[in-house]
Amino acid sequence: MGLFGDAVWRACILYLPPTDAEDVFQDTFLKFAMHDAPFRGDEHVKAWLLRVAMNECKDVLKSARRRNASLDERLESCGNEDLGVESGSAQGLREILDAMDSLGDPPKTQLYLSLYEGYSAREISEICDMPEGTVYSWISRGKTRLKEALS
Amino acid sequence: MSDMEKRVHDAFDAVHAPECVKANALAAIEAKRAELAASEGRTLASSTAPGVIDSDVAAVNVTADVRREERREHSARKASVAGRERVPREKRGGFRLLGAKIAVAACLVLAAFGVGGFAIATPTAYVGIDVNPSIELGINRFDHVVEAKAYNDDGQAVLDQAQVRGMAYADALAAIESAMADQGYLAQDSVIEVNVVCDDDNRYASIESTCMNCFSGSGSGAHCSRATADEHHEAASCGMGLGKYRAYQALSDAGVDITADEASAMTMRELYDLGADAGVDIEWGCGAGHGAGHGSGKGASDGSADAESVDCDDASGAGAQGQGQGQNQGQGAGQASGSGSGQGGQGHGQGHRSGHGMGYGHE
Repeated sequence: MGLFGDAVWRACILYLPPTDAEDVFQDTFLKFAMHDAPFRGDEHVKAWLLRVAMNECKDVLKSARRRNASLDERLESCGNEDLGVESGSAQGLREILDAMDSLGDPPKTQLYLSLYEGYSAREISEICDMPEGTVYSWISRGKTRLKEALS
Repeated sequence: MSDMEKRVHDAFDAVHAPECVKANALAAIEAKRAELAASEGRTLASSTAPGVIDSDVAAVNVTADVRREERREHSARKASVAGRERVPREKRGGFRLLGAKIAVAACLVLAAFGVGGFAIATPTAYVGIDVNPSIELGINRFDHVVEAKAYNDDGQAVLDQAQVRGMAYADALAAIESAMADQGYLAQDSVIEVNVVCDDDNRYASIESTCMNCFSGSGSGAHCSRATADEHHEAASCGMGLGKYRAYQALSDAGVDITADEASAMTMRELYDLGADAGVDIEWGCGAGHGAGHGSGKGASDGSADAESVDCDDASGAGAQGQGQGQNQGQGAGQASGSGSGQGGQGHGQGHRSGHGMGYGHE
């Protein structure tokens, strides 16, 4: 949790308000604890955690019949402390989350994994269970649209 | 990096998982571990009292309810800080209730069949420590000790003092080192043999490094190596610690007449000495320690002089003319001197320590 807690938390708040993100965070690490098969190394662990967390977030959204909780809701229901964001950077984070929400998913997940986590299209295709070519095109399209949304 | 990428990086770099979220997750994992441990223990007992299963399920339900209640209170606290009323989680969607039911059903299956499948209570790595006490720790994925086994009475005495179950393994190793020192097992020439069974290379490196840090200043130093799951299984079936079992295997493969029981009753130092006397290298992996040499030397050039030295850093056999001197250098951080024998102007020495146990003597 010390190594990948932040990465999992970031993935959670990408989709959910902090209270639900906390549930997913907890469930993700509980699943990790229950996971029996060996991992090939830290990077494998990280990719596994992100995949589980993101899938769980999407399940929460689906089950609750919510489509990406809007940034407004996120901001209304929580403070910076709940989001775990440093106070000076809160505004920047909210703008980015807002812009990424506006893209829909895909390409939000693919874009986040590519832009922030630095995964290759092949790795993202494994994490998202999506053909590599499709990942490429979503990332490319997503970058263009994110640029527009942030401008 | 484009401006857009930089903004994304800056935004997410500033996000860190809140400490309370991490603490809650750890508490939930620990609670699950405790539930599983309790339900497993009771399920074993239920083979003679079937009714116990029901109380297990009830206990799990009660614990789950308590946890849910605690979390609801926590959320309510946070909501009041934010100045708005929160809707209880159950009313916001049926998925929580469904999740709880699935969790309870899973616990029921586990309680009913006694399957301890959850890795939280299952070791994913083993650390065997042999000095004379032979101890084995089972470490789960979260680097906590979930099993502690002694292969001899000395090991049991050390475990009784150290009480390592539930500890982070680094703390457990320190407690064991301290208990061994208290009970006098870490004499200057003691050999501490650590064997790690772990599939993950990175994790092995981390455990090895922790072990070496913990034991390198004790006795004549620690000697850490990696063992296979098969060796672990065979050692356990022989009732021996991994270190002693591997030494026994090496000695017996080299034709040394020794039984498993004899090897089990010997200290690692004695096994090392036996290997050195028989010319068998029973050392693997890397070692670290300091220079306590051990051996004996005898020097004589014309038969008129005879000297013997034992347990000395730089021993030399004294004869009228012959003199031997041995030096032994560990592969790790340590250096040791052994003793030697000289005869007729030519010496030969042999020393043993936690690193590599060969030395060369010269006049």
